[in-house]
Amino acid sequence: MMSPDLQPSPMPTPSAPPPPPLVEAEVEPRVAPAPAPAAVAPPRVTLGIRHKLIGLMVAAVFLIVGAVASYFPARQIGELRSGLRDRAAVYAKLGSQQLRSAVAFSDKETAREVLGALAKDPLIDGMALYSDKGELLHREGQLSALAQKTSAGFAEQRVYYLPGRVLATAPVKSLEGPRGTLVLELSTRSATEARNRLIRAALLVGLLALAAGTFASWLIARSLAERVERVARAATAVARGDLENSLSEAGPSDEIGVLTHGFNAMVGQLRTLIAHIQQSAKEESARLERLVQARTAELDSRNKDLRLVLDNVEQGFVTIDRNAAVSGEHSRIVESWLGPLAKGDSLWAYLDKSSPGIGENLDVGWTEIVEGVMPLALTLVQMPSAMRVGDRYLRLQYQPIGGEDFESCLVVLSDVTATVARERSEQEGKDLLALTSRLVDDRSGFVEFVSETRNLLLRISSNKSDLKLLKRDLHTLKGNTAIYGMAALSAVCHELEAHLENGTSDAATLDRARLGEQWSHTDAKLRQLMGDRQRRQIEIDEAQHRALLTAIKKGVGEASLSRMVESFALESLEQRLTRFGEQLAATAQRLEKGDVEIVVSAPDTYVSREQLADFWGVFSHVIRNAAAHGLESSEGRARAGKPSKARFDLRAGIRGERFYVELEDSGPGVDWDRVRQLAEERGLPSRTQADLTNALFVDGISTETNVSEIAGRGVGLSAVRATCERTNGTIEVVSKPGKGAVFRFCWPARELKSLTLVDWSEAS
Amino acid sequence: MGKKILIIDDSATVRQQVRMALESAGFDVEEAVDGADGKERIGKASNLAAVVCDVNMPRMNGIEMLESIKGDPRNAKLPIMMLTTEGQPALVKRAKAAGATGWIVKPFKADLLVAALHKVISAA
Repeated sequence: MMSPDLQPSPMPTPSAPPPPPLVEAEVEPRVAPAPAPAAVAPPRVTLGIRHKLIGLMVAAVFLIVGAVASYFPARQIGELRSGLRDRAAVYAKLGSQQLRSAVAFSDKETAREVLGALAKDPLIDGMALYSDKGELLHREGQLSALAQKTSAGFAEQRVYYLPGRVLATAPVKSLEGPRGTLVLELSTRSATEARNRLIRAALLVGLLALAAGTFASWLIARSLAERVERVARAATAVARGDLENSLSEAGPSDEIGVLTHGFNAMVGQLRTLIAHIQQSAKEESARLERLVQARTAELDSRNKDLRLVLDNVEQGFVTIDRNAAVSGEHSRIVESWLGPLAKGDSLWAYLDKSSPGIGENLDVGWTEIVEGVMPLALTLVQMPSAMRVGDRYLRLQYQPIGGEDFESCLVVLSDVTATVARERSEQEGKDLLALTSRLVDDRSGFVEFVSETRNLLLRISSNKSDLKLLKRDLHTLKGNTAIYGMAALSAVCHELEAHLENGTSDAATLDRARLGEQWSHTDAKLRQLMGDRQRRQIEIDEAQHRALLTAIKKGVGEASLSRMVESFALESLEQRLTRFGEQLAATAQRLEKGDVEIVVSAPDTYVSREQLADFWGVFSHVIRNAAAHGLESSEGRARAGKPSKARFDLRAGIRGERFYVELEDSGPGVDWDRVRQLAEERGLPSRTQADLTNALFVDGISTETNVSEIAGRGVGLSAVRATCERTNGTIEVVSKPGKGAVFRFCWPARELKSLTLVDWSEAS
Repeated sequence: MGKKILIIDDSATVRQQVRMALESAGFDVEEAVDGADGKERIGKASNLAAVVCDVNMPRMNGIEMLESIKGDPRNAKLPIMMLTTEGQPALVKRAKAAGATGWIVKPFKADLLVAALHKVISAA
């Protein structure tokens, strides 16, 4: 009978609702087609159920047989013993009655007859009859020593069960008076034999029962255990993931049958469940795949948008590897600026095609970056940051991806043409403002500057062979334009000078286009600004006008009046030197050397503009030289114990037969040892002071090697010397070490025809 | 005592600038006025940590000096940084070929010079 609890659960039917999904949306997109549970090794069976069952059943049979085999013989033996006792008692009673007469008369014959009859019983070992005096009347068989001692007898009949025998004594009371004692002993041998037989029989039966029981147990255990083991093997297979096999349900409908059935049902349920999970996973996987495709499409679309944005901004992005080869995508705009670019191309070679020369600079800088000997922050700063392609200005920025040990670098090219144009326009505006201010302050000086600048530019553009002259003109132009605040033009001059110095260009190949460009903007505005006023005009100030009027009214001599009027067409040296003084102060400011004090002294001295035009053109170099070398830094002056404000004296006048222009500074003085050293290196005479002075004014000799925009190329002073020599002038340099130097330029006064001294005091 | 750096430049202004930058970073500074002077000082000094050297100098320029001292095995590991002006790749190549550790374009930022010196000294 099956217990209702053990009824197998019904198998799931196709119409049954599917179990709730175990796989949620976040399942991996790919699900293994079959479950692969971890293979757990089944536990090792140490004492099988079969053995336990057999052991148990054998033990039970053993106990039962043991109990039966010991109980029945014991009972049988008890009965035998009881029988012996009864028989001894009967014999004793019977004997004591029949022997009364023998005792009464000590009749031994009767005693022999009675005892002899009784002794026929084989169980009787011995018997004896004693008189009350202890006299043996008769004995049959053998009596034990103990039996013999009981001859005195007891008042009543007694039976003793002793080892191996039963002793009975009975008093024999004769009617006549005398008494006696009957002693008899029965052997228990027969009982012992019977007991032994019984035990043997019981053992035999017990062993047979045991064997039968064991066999039966084995049969039962075998049939039970085999089925349980089958279920166990099937369960182990399920544990390994094998759900394909079912158990045969043939066999008795007992609990194991129920178990087998339940097991099959469970495996069936599992199969259904796993199939369901696999189906769900498959569906989920397909769903995720669709999702990924949708996202990818969305991303592609976004990338396209991004690409569209990137391709439409004024910045080009190129990624390069450590070999500077284009490694990935790049913005289309780069190609529109610079031509086709392919992955794997060297970016530097590519840029060099559009801006010849930059490739080498990029290469050198990049080598330094890749070597990594110097900090990346430094080597990045030293990479070329700009390039020009036709009319387009491109800024270059470098963004290594991954810090010092970068694998790739983003190069950003930005079109800064508009910015450059705006900056240039702003610079031009500033320059123009400075020029306007100059024009208003000193019209004649300004007209002269413009005129000289135009001439210089003409000479620079047409000079394709004289490198020395070209360098000098560029240097003069650089200095003049710097002093007049035309920073942009001055910067272009500096750049061109650098090309000539480095040998990257010569007189024939120098690209002067930017110089012309830069000037043409300014010049056009200047022409508008100055208009007809570019023509020479004579201007007199109010004081001069008043002085002339006073002189006429006072009736001063014709010669004096004539000199006064002539002087109107001449240039006041006081005014000229004041102009240079302003330039000197401005230059000192630009060199960040602080404010300077300028003292000008050229009273009443006039000379025509033409007469000294060439000299004034190069005197700017002397001014720049003074600001650069004749003026220490603020700290230097403080260390030397000098006043914080440096003084410069600009003087002109006539001394004896000579007209002089001199500039005195309060700087460190000329380092003549250094000049001598430089002169020796150049193979120049260096013996006398005059030699050294000449050497100081030789092209390429400069004691300042920090080449700056202001001074330092050793070009300027040579131009001064050349001009002086051409106009019959001389140069003197007086140096007071640590205190300053005087640069004096002299001409024979009589050779300066226009030189005029006007004594305005006559008119006061 | 800081590490000793030799600055070779014929411009007192540059020497002064470099001295101020390096001293404020804790270095000891020695000066030389040109390549020949620099070579002599390198020969005499035994405890130089690095050299900062200009390229364009009278008597002996920086590259000539570099070529003449790098032959000496004692100077093989001495870091030498060259000061150059912009747009001189040919000079830089010559300097590197002659054994320059690195090059710095003038005008330079003091902190970058100091960072570069620290890096090349620790690598030497």
